[in-house]
Amino acid sequence: MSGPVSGLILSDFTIDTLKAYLVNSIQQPQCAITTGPYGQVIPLLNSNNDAVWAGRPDFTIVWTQISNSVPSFQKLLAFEPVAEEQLVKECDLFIDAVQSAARRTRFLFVASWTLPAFLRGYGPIDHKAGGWQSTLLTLNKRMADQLSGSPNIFILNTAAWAQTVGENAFNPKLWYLSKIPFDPAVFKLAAQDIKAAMLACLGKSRKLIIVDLDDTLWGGTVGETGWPELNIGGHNAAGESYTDFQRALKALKNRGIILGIVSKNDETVALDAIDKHPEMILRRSDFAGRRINWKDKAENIISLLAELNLGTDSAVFIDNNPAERDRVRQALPDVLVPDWPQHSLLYTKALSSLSCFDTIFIGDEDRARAQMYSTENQRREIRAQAQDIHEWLKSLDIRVTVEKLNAGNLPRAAQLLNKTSQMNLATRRLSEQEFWAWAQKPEHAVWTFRVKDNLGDSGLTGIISLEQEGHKTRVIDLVLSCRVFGRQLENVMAAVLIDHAAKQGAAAITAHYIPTEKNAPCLEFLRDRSGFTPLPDNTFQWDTRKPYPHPSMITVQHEG
Amino acid sequence: MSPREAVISAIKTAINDINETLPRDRKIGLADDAALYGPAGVIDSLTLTLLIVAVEQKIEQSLHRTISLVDMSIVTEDNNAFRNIATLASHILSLIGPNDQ
Repeated sequence: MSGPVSGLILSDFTIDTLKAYLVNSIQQPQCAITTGPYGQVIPLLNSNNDAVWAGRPDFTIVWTQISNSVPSFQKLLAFEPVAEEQLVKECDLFIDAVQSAARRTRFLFVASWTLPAFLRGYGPIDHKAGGWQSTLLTLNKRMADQLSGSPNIFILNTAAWAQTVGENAFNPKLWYLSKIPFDPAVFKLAAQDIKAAMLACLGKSRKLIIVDLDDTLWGGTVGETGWPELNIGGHNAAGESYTDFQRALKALKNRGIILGIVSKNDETVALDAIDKHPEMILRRSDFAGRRINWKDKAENIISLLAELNLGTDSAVFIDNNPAERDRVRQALPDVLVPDWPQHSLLYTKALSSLSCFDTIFIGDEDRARAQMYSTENQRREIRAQAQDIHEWLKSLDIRVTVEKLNAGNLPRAAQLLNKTSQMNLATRRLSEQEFWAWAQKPEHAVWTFRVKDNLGDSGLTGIISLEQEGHKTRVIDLVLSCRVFGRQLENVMAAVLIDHAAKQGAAAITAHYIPTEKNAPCLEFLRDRSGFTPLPDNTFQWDTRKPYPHPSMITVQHEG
Repeated sequence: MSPREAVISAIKTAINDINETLPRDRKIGLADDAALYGPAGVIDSLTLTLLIVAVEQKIEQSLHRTISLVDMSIVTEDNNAFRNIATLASHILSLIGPNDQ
């Protein structure tokens, strides 16, 4: 996406401060924001034709006060009797309106409802049935449950912003003077979270954490003391904090974030510590790759990213040494290098606070990603021993399952479409809904590719889509995950689409390459390895009267 | 640091916070005589409200004194405490009282 993302804010209070933070902060993505007229939230959510929806905003934020969206909550606040059914009915009307509006925007964020901490309600019984807090929890839960099935609607955690800001989060003076319920600090946190969420929606979440070792993953310098003297675990505050930091890293790995090591150390000594120290939570197999040597860390990061087929904008580098952090920031500005606390007791908090791993979808492929990188290392070892690529591919026994896009594989397919930058013909970025709607048109067809071999299951890692126009067939998307590059799967995908085009009676199939900063590998495939004929303007063509040479070492199975 | 310097420092901290919400070409100046609110001023009424509350908070945090600047009589044409940082500091010092200066 080029230029700023367009956003619409609908609110029942003065929301200019949030707009100001979204527009003027340097945090990516840059935003162009419009706001709906004051106090018109429900009518605007329900309106198909209002001008606020013109141009279909990239994202919409709905931020209301509970007593406006659920009017009977006002009675509750006045300690008047209110039937729960009435509150639920009003809540459902709001939810229906939000769902209706989600069709007019790519992504929709709803701020959860919250109450100021100084509103004590019934005191100790306020969390019992009929209490303010009890009802607030019930209605927020209802909203979250009912919206959880909508792939482009996400709930924002207002209570977390208020909690972070503390006593001054709700500011009565700003309310009475300007109808602003919150302190600007709340809006600042909201803007940060919204921008992080938008990056996730755009497939720009970080994928890899590269950590240093000495005084980062453990306390002490392993090269000086040997691994038995390292401070990890045990019964001291610092030791426990290193263990917890490793646990937090392992938790991120469990949800699909890849771990790597870049450290200035003797590799044998460092690996001894990782393998043998009884209190280590992370072991060698938890890391997808490592560079442990005495070279420049920026150079090592570039080398590690190349091995993992990842770009610099995928990586986060964590190091306790400010000089090393500065060096990497200077050399690799796209690598996120967070400021890091001096004391290990704050490491876990610093890691947990990073918003760059926010995601809008977690699937089986994400959970298994670290294992996939581990098996990828094994593949590389076999490749190094094999005489040629054919012997290597044969030994892997690669099996590809081709399946039409369906409701079951849609979430992962949309995630892959939005996250893949390198082997990506057109770099289209579409929400689940948009991708599905596009695929349903009679002139369009989309297939997904699942890849397995005798070392493991790489999951859904490829997509192709076609557009049929008379006797012409155009490839719209050719997307392949960087995890499975270099195994002739691109050629399998080409064979599948040419076979389909021939059956449809197309005389030729063309692929128009749209260059980006990152998708040169796709051009390299089309130009050098696909066998397609180059035409002017980055277009490549195959005459479908000629069968496409299918890689014989790869088994293809069609499903559905 | 003298009380006046402490008050000016608190005002500038508040302005820095407000400046995060403003576009580059509309940021509030930090010179003592840079115009704030009024005929020559650079901030609108909503920003003035945010500035009032932010300055109150910063004074409370740094000088441990609770003041109230929510009084529109201090932004009249003849008596505009928010004309610039210097006039605002003088007004705040008058609220804090001579014993604290």
